[in-house]
Amino acid sequence: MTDLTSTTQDAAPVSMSPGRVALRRAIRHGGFWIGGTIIFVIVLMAIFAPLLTPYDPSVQSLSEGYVPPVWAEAGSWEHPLGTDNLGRDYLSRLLYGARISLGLGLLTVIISGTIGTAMGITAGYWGGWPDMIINFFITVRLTLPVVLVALVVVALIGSSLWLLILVIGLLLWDRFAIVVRSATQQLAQREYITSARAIGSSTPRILFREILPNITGPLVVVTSIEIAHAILLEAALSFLGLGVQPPDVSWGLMVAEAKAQLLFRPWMIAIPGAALVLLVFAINLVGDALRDVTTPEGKA
Amino acid sequence: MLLSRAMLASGILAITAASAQAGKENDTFVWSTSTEMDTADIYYGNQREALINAYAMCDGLLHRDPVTNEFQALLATSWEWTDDTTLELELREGVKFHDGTDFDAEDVAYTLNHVADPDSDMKIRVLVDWIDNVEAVDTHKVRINAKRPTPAALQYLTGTSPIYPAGHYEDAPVVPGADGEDRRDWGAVQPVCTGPYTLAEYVAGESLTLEANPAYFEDSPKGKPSIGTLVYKTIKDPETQIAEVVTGGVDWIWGVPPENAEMLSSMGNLTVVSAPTMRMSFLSLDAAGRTGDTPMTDLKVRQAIAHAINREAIAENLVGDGAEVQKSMCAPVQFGCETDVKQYPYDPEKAKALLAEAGYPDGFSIPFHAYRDRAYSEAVLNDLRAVGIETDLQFLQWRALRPKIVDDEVQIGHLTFGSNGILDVSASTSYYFTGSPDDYARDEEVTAWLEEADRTTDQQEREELYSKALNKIADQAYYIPLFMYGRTYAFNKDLDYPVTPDEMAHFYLAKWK
Amino acid sequence: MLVYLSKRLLMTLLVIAVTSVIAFLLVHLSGDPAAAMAGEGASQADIEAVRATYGFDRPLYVQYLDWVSRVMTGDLGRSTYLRADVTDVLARHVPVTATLGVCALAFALALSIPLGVIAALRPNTMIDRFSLWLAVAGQALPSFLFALGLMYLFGVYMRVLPISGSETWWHFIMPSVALGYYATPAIMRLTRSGMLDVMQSDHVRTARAYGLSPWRVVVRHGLRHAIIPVVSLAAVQLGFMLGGSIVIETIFSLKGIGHLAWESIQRADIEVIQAILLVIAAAYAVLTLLADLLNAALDPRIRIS
Repeated sequence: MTDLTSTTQDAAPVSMSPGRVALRRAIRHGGFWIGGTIIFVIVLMAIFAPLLTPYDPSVQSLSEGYVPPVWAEAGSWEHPLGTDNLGRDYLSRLLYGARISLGLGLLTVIISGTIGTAMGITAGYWGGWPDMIINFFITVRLTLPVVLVALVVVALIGSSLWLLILVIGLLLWDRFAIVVRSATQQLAQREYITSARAIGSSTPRILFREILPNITGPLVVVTSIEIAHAILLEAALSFLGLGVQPPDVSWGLMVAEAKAQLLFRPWMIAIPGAALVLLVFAINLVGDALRDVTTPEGKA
Repeated sequence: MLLSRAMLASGILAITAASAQAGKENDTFVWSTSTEMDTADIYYGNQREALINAYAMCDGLLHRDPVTNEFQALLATSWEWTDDTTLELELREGVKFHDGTDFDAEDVAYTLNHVADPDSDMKIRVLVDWIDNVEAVDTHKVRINAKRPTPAALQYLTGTSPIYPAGHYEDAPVVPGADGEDRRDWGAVQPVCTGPYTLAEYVAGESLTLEANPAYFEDSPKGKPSIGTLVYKTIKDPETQIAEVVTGGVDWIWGVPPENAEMLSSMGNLTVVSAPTMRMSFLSLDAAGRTGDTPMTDLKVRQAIAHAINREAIAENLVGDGAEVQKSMCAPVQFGCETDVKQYPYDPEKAKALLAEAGYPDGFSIPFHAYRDRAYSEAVLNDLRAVGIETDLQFLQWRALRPKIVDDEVQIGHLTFGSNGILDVSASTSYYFTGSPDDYARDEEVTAWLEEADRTTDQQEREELYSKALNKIADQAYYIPLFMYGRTYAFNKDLDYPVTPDEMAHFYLAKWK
Repeated sequence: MLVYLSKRLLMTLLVIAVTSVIAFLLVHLSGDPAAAMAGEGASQADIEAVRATYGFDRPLYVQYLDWVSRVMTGDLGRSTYLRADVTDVLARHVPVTATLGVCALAFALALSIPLGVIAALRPNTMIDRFSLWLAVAGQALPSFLFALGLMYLFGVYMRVLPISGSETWWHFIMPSVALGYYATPAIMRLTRSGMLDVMQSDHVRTARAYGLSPWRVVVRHGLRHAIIPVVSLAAVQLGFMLGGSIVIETIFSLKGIGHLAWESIQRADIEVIQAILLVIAAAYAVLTLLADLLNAALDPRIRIS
């Protein structure tokens, strides 16, 4: 569950072509469309959850637990996806769960992306001592096993949504730092940057006007990978009982709660499991497509 | 095996032989739970798994029949209170420890004096705190001098207090404490007992293997062992346990989700049984205001909480077979457990009205601490939300929650307690309401009644005192009793053993069919 | 080379040193170890006694230095829960995880290198697309779902593989597949891009021109060169696997360090947690060091810079 895609080959070179070319390529890319559509639908489901279901996802009816979904013999349209152990509507939980899973992914990436980008730009732009120190931090971070560190903190402090977001955000910045660093290094040697320096443009101006806009390609790729990563990490923590806590619900938590039913009511784990796989798959697909379009042809 | 040798050389696990197979044909009974034992010595560990193994390999002075709850002679053949604080016991002759030494009065005196010592680090102090000292009167007679009248003493001398040979703890390893001070790790010594099974192997955190003791004494109420080998192994994940028991890799598990009982038993190779236990599930409310300014100090709020929770539905639909609504802050099977106390029927409207009267017409929001069975806690807090009490669930490991309880940080705690299997209210109600760190009521009157009852020998007088205390606890809704846990067991169809209501497993009584 | 070697070695030691501080602080700042260790039924006095016995009342830096100086002498402390020296406990658990890691890596390599090679030989064809999609899809499957699925299929339904434990090699099949699967996409991509580069190089073109059999060209001249970065990536992936095996070890009840770490966290067995964090960090640091040295030995450019 840790950083299993390697860090080396994600350091996609900075797009040689202007953004428009990349965009045109993206539009022609099948994976981008498939992934994008899935994500779009899930986001819509999350936003309009209250309109799509008449049930409150946390209102229980203990005598109506384990109703099977509509396609099973005993199922009915009253609860299209059935109910869980406490008799809560499974479809509502799935819809509301999308909010937490997506929100957690986005918020953690805002934290990790900010930290990682700042570190990467600093290291890549200045080089020398700052680069060495930041490189050292990246190495230290990589030696610490993510799941284990997150477990230690969450187990001893107590799990809450905000703590989870913070912990995961503070752990997953390494890939941002590595990718942004190498992208910035490449840019910093370009002529227009060196000349901007020569004519005395202020450093913040160079960083925000020249560097940052030109590394968005790899940055977007890493962002997609890390959103998926954060969602899976939360699911793993939920599986061990230390993820999102009720009354909040995430897809990871739904899978974890349903695992006792694996042998007997497999749909309970299959529904949120499939949703989770689909979401992460779609994000990865988009990320992969973006990687393709920001890298020269032929190489992936 | 060249490959394994190469692996071994490179620090990789060398895999030797296939493990012992579970099942009747191998006369090997494998049972499994989620908890890793921290010691095989029941004095130094308080897990059920350790107690189950202790019952199989060790004997105490008395035996409490798990079915009838009667006291029977085990290592002691007879016992008598010669005065309020002196208990004399005659001991069985001709009994041998597993290491071959003879059992006599010196062993009893040594073991009990060791654990009763305040510095012994013994885990469940209530079992031994009543003992002032133990003397060997002659080779087969001991005298226990109690610090105070102790009506529950016989309870404490059953299987929870096994007897080891004199000098047993002398082998305890010396381990470094802080600043170079040494201490003894008594619990690291492997038990040597007189029981029906002998300890063959103990691998900390993994497994414990017992073998039948052919020399076990004839007329023991625990009977001669029947199954050749008992193996306990830890399997953390409940789903893995179920997969193993379904496929015959394991012969016995407990804690099966009751809603799966029917489907498991339909698989054909398993017996699935649900039984009540002594474990109670309750809410601890901060009536004493230990956490500071909290709505819990208001009687009306506490009563509102009691009315808000649908205990019947939780016990019946969620906890399932074997569970029942808990009426009072004790286990009904315990001596002195008065259940005819004020009840708060499920009534959300009344709960809302009480909250309004207390000045919270729109409810309030409060942290809710829990540590065990998240689904049950969720059901409770969903009920609370329905009457306007928004909860912030803090679901912690017990080891993280306990310090918060001690440090006055828990306004509402969803707790459970199994009374360490002791059939006396002194082990439950008195544990929670006599001013300990776990006491969030801090009612001096209740404490006084309970303390007096704990040391009164007249049974009727004790019952009256406990009844007074339990009535006030219910009237004041200090703690909200919710339900008594049930347990669902799934085991090999070939196995014959009595499923008992004491949250125990008496495997020394087991036979293959 | 010597300068490079000593620099890398120094860096590795420094990383381990900083990691040890972090491991120590994580465990000590996240909760009150004394209260946690005192356990159920402990009174305030008991907790104070534990605090004094274990020296938790001393300043943090004193405790840290005390711990580090003991670690230097090979004494990793004692597991208060298992009542054994941490070194002995680790000696039992590390081999299980090491076996799992090596098997998982072997599985990952066996799956991803052939796929990567085939994809590179037929770029932008069905098989190339297929292997990429497989990689993307595979990474979307949470490891616990995959593991539970394997267990259900091969353990319960078909009953061909043992479900839990580590007694025989059979026991390692499902966990290795579940753990190793996550390393495949990265290795596959790297093999593919490496092969693409190598196959277009003059060296290979010459070999082809000489009329060597395609198989021989691919293996002897192509793969041999493309594999170099894969080897170092594999070393790094092995490091990640050692730290990422908690969920897999828990599901298959493998008593390795991941399982031990998770149990120890729940019972606040702090010296074990510290030791595991340190061991995993050291293993990762050493593996990356080896990977770097391997790269340096094979690629002269690094040596010079």
